[in-house]
Amino acid sequence: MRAVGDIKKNEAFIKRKLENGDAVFSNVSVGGKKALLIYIDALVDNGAVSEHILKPLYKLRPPINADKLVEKLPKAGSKVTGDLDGAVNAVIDGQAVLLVDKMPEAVLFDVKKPESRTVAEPPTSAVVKGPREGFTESIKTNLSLIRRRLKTNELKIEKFKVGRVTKTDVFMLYLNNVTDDKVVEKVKSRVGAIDIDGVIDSSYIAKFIAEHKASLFKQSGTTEKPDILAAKMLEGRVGILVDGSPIALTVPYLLFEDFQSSEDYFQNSYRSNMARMIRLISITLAILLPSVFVSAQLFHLQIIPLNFLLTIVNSIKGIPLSPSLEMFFTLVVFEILNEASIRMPKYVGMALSIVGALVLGDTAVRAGIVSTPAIMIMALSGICLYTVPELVDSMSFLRLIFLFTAGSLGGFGIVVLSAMLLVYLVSLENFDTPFLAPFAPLVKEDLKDGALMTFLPDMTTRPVTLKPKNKVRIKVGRNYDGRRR
Amino acid sequence: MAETMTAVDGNEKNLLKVRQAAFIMLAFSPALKLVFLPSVMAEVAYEQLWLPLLTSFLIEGILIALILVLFEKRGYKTFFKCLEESFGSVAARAIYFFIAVFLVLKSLLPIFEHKLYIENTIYEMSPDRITFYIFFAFSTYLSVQGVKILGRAADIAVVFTLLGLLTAFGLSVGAADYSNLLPIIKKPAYNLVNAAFRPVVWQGDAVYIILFSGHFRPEKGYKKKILSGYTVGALATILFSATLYGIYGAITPSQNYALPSMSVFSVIVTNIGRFDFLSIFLLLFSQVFAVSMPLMLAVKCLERAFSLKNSIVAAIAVNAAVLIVTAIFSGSVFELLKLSTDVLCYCYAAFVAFSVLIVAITKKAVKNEI
Repeated sequence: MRAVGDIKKNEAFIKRKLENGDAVFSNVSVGGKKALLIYIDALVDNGAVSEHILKPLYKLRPPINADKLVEKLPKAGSKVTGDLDGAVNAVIDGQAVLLVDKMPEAVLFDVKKPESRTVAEPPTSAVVKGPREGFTESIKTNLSLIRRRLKTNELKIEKFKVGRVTKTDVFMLYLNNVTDDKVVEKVKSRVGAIDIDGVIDSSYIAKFIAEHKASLFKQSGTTEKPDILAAKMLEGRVGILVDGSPIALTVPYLLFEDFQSSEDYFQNSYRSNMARMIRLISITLAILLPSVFVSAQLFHLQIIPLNFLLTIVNSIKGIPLSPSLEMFFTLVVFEILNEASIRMPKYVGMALSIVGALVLGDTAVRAGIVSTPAIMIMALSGICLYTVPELVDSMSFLRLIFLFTAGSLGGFGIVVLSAMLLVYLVSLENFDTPFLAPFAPLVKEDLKDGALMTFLPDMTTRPVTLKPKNKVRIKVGRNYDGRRR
Repeated sequence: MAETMTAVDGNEKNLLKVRQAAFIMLAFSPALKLVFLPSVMAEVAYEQLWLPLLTSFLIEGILIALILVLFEKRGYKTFFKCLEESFGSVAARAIYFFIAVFLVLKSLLPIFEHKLYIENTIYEMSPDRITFYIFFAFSTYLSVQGVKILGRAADIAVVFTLLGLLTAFGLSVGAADYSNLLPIIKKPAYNLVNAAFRPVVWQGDAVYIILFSGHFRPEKGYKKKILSGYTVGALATILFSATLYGIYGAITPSQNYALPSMSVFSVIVTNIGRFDFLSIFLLLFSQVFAVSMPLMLAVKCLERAFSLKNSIVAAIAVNAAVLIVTAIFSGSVFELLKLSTDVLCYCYAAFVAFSVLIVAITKKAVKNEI
């Protein structure tokens, strides 16, 4: 509806739309005219309302018009609109709206309360060396954290409003001279096509832009750290930030990304390579150890060294459960403890650890329900899983499938399931990027930062897998000592 | 060169890279030949087993080289396209159908032998009889995928094969007495010719290359790369067969399962247990692909022969048929082995030669097509 000169009619329309008790309709006088300032108390910065709107308003002299208001109240980020529906949306969004009698426009003031927690180190990606800043729930803060790192006019930021009810701001960020246009277009069209009532978190967007909806593996990278997002954008990825979510998305996503840590680039290369190998071996152990142990006990006793076999035989004496059921039982208990420890209030967490790990585990062994090796294998597998926390969801599920297969089909079942998993993984593509690159298909250039990484100055090109417009990362020049690099 | 040479098969699902074609040869070819083949060869050629193997591989290698040259002259079209242009659509479909039948028949012995090998050597406690049949679930799944997926899987499987081969070789070489292979020439010549036909049952790489042609974009030195992959695979098989004979000498023909037999005398196995199972399982991973590859390619041929839009039906039909045959006849594996090495190997050799001949008589590409 268009605003009219009669303030009463405008007020009546807005009141009808904002029937909530938290909307404030404050009568003021502007240059001798009746005026109405409308805002939602909980959303606006009251100091800014008083300092940047009310105080200057009282000082205004006639004649009063919209342009003059914008001119005289510059600190409030004023804007003029003739659309009352837009004004209502602005109030809901946290702005203040001023209606003046005989003035057929509304003036909007951006006095949104910057309510967000301070920038802190995200709990999910702590580092020993390297930047400690993490994203917050405030999109403005998050954008500023990226802007501070990528100081170039090639940084493009495109805004979308997603969610019919939540009208959440979703920002797509990319480097125009690096990122493949096809990826940018695909992200735009997929985000633009989302028609949902609300977007509460960035994970909603991730589910909508994924090519394989039922995939066991996630299809967008996630990070809570601006330095990681900036680094990924420099490689040619698109970043997605969602208002209200501290987790940024990156696409295209490759499985191996999660085996890389930001710290790998900050510390000694040898140490980084060792860490990557440890992560790779740990994840393999996490998935396969319980199943191999069960399968060895049930079908392939010959692969267990004799002394270890004797230990196992001694410890499983009198255990009423079969090896597969025993392992399944311990894994389920582990998953329950894990789930409970996440949801449980922190102050009972310690008690849970004691009850879960010590009392339950120890008592189960003493009572002869489960064997010591089973507990040990389960614990080792659980710890190994958390060396790559981003993959915990899919890997813990896979571990159970492997365990079930091992218990029923033995080693050959494990091999066939692994082969199936490989076929599944190599067939996955998202944004035309193979999920298992740079290993399958093998991309020689990208192996510089694969399972092992070379020295940073030798990573002269961006990942070819991501098809960057500009492949050169380090310009070939001369070192400080004059030698050609 | 690469700019003008594009794969004729427009289906993205079936595009391979030259490296992947080479890796398929390298990863899957030797993996398939390390169960019965060494003992079969020892049975007819004894200490000279490497000679007929070498001859057989050499002939197949020459055929592969010839096929690559022939396809170069045909503008890197797919075999189907060549057949269609030369003999018409019906003939092309018929030939593809026969290739599918050949591949299915050829897959039987490796499936039977692997079933026996897995049940008898990998499992200490006798597994359920249906354990092996999970293989057909995998094979059906793989058959539904395009050749591109097989190529990507080869990129990973090649690591497993090489690690498996190296571990197995490392564990067995210490126990091998290569003087068992002397003298080099002993048997009458006709025996060696006869023996050289036996590996044909496990071979088939020439037919694979015919089917892969046109699905990869040729690049500089592509023939060399593919032949190198094949050569390394062939040499590994010969080396392993020779090592097995080096360990067991005259009793090699009784060592049906080459891989597990080779490493048992290793000090590592004696001290810390069956460490050799690491190589066995690593190679088993590649063997699963190698055994199902003919079935997958048969499905792809049937897809072409009957213009199927979806390969699920063909994949299920082929794999179900082979599963039923396996369930009924897998107990007769040694009879099939005898039939294959005495009779079928000649038929298979004739079919491969016939396929190459067909490629040779298809129309050459005109100059501007190349």
